[in-house]
Amino acid sequence: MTIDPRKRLSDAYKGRLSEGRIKAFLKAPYDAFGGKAVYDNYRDRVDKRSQHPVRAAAIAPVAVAGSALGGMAGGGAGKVIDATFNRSGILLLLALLYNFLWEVRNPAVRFGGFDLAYFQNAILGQGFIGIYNMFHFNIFFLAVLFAWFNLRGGKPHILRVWLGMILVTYLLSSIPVLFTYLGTKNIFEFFILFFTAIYLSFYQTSMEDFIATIVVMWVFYNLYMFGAIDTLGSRIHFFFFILFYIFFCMGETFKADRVRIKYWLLLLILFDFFMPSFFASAFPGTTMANLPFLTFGFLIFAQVYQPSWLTSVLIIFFVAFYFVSFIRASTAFQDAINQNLVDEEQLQERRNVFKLSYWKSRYYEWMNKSIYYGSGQDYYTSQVDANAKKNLGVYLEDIGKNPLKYFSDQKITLSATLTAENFISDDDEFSFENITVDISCAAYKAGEKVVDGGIWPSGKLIIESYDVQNILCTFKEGELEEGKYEIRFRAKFNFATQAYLKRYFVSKERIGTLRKQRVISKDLDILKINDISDINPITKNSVGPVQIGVSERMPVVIKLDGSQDTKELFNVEMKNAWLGDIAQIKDIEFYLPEGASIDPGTCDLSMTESAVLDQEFYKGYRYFHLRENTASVLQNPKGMRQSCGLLFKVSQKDILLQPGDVTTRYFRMAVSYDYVLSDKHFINIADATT
Amino acid sequence: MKRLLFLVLLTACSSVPDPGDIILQTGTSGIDLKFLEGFSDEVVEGSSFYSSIEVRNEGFSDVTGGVLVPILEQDLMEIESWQLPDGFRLSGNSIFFDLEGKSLAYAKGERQVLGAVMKAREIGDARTKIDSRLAFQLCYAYKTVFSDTLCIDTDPANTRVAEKTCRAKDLTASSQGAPVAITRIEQRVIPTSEDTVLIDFTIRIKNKGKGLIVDPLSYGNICEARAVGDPDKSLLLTSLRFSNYEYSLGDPLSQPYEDEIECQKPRQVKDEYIIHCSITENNALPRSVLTFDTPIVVELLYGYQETISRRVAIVNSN
Repeated sequence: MTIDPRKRLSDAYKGRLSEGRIKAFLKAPYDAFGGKAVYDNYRDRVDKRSQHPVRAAAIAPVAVAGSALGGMAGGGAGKVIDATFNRSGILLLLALLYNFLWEVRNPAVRFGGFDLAYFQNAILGQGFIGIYNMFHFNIFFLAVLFAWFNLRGGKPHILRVWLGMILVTYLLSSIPVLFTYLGTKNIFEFFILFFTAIYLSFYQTSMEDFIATIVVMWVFYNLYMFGAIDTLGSRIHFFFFILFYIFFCMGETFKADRVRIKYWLLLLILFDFFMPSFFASAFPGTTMANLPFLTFGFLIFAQVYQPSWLTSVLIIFFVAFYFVSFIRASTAFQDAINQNLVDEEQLQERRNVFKLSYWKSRYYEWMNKSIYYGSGQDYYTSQVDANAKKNLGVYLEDIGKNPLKYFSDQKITLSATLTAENFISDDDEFSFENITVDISCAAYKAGEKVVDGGIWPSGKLIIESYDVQNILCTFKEGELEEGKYEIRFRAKFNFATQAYLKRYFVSKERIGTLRKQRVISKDLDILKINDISDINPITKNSVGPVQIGVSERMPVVIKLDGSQDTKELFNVEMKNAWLGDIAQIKDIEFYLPEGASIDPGTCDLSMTESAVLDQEFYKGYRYFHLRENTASVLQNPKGMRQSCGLLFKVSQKDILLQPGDVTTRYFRMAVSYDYVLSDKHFINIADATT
Repeated sequence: MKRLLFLVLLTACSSVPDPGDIILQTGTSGIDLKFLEGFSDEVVEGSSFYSSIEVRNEGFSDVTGGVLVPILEQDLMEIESWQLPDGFRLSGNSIFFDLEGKSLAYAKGERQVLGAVMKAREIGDARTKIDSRLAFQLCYAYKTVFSDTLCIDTDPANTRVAEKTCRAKDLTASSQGAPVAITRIEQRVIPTSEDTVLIDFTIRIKNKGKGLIVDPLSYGNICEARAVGDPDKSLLLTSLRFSNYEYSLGDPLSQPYEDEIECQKPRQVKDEYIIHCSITENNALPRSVLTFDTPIVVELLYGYQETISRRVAIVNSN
């Protein structure tokens, strides 16, 4: 006879089943979880609850809902799963659904934690009083003092509690100094104190449990004050933790562990609300910022309190995935901390988790380069030259130093510092193109643009060599109404990145001779016998937002055949290395050593040869660049690749090969582009009348 | 007192070596090339700098027509002028020279110093400096001469009653004052008939220097990247003589491998070259000849190539 599992569960909790039938039910989870301790613990609790109709009925729906996940974990529908697991299962399911389905499909619910700039600025700039007020320590200390006063003699006397309440509300609040630092400042804080009095009066508690409860309430209150219910995304996170509190911190189920669980809750809140911005800023470009914090944090909790194969596997999966992603990233810590929302790229990363093709490409990426070549993919290498001039380019700084709070009736002015450094030529007859910077600013609310700000200095900035400029962004009185705004600064500028790649040319016949003599076993060995230590030169870039990389398919040692032309692939990648956007690629330039040329018709984007500049720097080179009509189409690229065939003609061999076994030459590349840099600052506009 | 006496005796034993006692034909060096110290590793773009090198023939053979080639990263440096000693000739990019080997007059070999004035080219505006490499490659023809006393034993099975004047054994050596050394000569006696025997030699050779063995007939062109050379003719056995038997390569292009001794081409096995030589059947030794000592001289000819380099950083002038 088949019994509906939900009915069986419900029956079990309501005490309708016999002792024997309950034990039969319990055998399944015992097998599934493989632990006598878990089983015994579960049995004891279910046995007790089965004799307690009220509590059993209260947790029955939770158990039924959790059985969906329990079935997954236990390996069969209808197995009775431990109540703890049911609760954590439900929350885990909710977190997974939110992070991987709802958030991905519905951008409106994205939430990437609080922006830390607000706290950073407050802590760095406003001193102890500012921090004390910002985090509402008044109500925290008041509640702690209140608890200490009442709990010091064991269970508090109800009369003492409520007398204390009256004392605080009326007497303490009337003393100005104490009111400032210890009073209740609004109705919510009053309710916290009121809740404290009720808690002390009607619940049996200990000092430790009560302090933990106060801390949790204080944190919830702060989250609320920081705007945790302002957006749909943050609201979901906020209510998730309220649900957590209801599931695990109320009732009798986890009474023994309640203090620890409350501190776990605090840890999870810290992890979920504050860490995303930290990781996004500390490890830019990595998927650390993209971590599904809610799911991951809750998984760790579930693993500690109710370990199962499911939580173990999920944790291993998440850790492995994000750890490997982290290793792959190369960028280091950055000072500015101003990430907030999960952006589209990060969401795409999460979506990719469900795609087989994504994992396939990851697999190939992690494999060695021979598999790269075998799979027909290229591996591009580049780095910023260690000896590059450090400050080339345009930088927006100091935006985070602006105040965080303004009033609606005042003119709002934010400042930023723009630093720009251009290439400088030694040649009097030649100068680089000036950097033209177009700056703008605007206020955004909930991701929507509200109004453009006025910029000073107006018009475009022209920078010939080096300039540091103070930028002001102004909003007129009343232009921004009460609320929270994101002020975005935007600087669009033209720039260029130069790069070079060292390559070694040898005679193919000479290589053959040395191989025959067994002096060398592979081409690279010719470098060693010629006392050359730099056997793996990679593309070195000047500092700039776009970086140039060259495929490793291009051999380090290029063998020139004496009897026929030599051809090599020259795959070049232009990638966005800063956090801004490439607005347009305007030109790609190749300077090839004389004796080398571009094989006609082999380039992805058509290139043409022009006379090289009459400068010593370009002596001995041939100059190729994009055709005019091609350059104009490269709008808003995420990055791009240009693949060309290089041709080394037999007749040109003697031009390339200099005396000695090995001739060292440099391939020079340059890309010129328009780039958009942006930075943001969060401000709070308060109503001037309050 | 006893200690003092011991010291006096010890002092009495030491004396200035007689010139005749100096062993010239030892060591594994040929021409030694090195940068002289005292020059900065950093130069400013667009400026000139000076680098000098010492060339010394530390081997036993004289060098005629040696070639020295500067190897620069031409995108970053160029040579402006040379300062050459007497006897050094500039032709194109290469310098030709002769250097005497070690002799009683030059116990350490002939030494010359030459200098080059170079210019660092512009390195562009995007970087503060760039590392470059300045190298010199040296190519020359060199000889290794091995000489020792060989015991020829026509009766290795000891069938005769006559007492042997010497005992046949393999000859070994570690160096002959050249980068390529004959390390072992093995001999075998092979009876060909009742009355005659053949002597078979296995000559083992090693490159003990830092450079490469290259074709001795085209080493100059190899250094100048105009030829790659024939790897089969990089090492030549030019002469093998003992008793009244002789093998002479003569002109390697016209009359290879003749005379009383036949020799195969050198064969490379791992890091060793092996040459097999044997008395021709027409010139087989009669068994009646008793065991005897005889001088043996083996001469090798080869080209040799060596490269030295140093790092030069070119600094942006801005």
